[in-house]
Amino acid sequence: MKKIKDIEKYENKWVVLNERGTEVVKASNSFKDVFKVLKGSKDKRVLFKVPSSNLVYSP
Amino acid sequence: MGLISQEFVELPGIDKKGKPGTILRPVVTFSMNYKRGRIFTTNGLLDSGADYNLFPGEYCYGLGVNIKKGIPVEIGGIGSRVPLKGYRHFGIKIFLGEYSFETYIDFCMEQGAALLGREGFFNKFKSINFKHQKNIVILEY
Repeated sequence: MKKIKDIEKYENKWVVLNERGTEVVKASNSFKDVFKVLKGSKDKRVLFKVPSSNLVYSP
Repeated sequence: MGLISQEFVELPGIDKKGKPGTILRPVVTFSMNYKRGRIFTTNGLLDSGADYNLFPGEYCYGLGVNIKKGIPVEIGGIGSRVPLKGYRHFGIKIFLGEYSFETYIDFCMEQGAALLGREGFFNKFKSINFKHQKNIVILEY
């Protein structure tokens, strides 16, 4: 199981993780803000939107 | 043939008691690009209940895609009674370790999580095996 430190603090935000995928290094309400943090095509840091803690996913 | 193993990821969600907390989800980390453009890495929820891939519209900015130039599609689900407007784009490449494939994705500005659906993701693999006791998923290509 993969854990990201304090991920619950970032719900509904766009985030970029560190290289190990264990911590958030940048968070924003704007995709463009977090995308700027990535440095070129070789940057393998993960960018995604953190889901809400108040929702159950169901198709 | 190859195998890709990825661990489930703990993300915010409603816990077993119905309270806000965290929950383990079968999320896959992958990279993507469009027409030799910039590659970026993200993650997506493996969703065998989703007909197609459905990604947040914001990803179009990262890919260099004009969202509204895609094929309009209506997107429905339990969460929205009124179908949402999405746009389908072809020619998007997905990279998972040594394996890569070209696919199509529906983008929708109201969508939050990237959903990896049956057509366009699951059907690109020989098998996708959820090992819930070990909290891993194994994708065979």
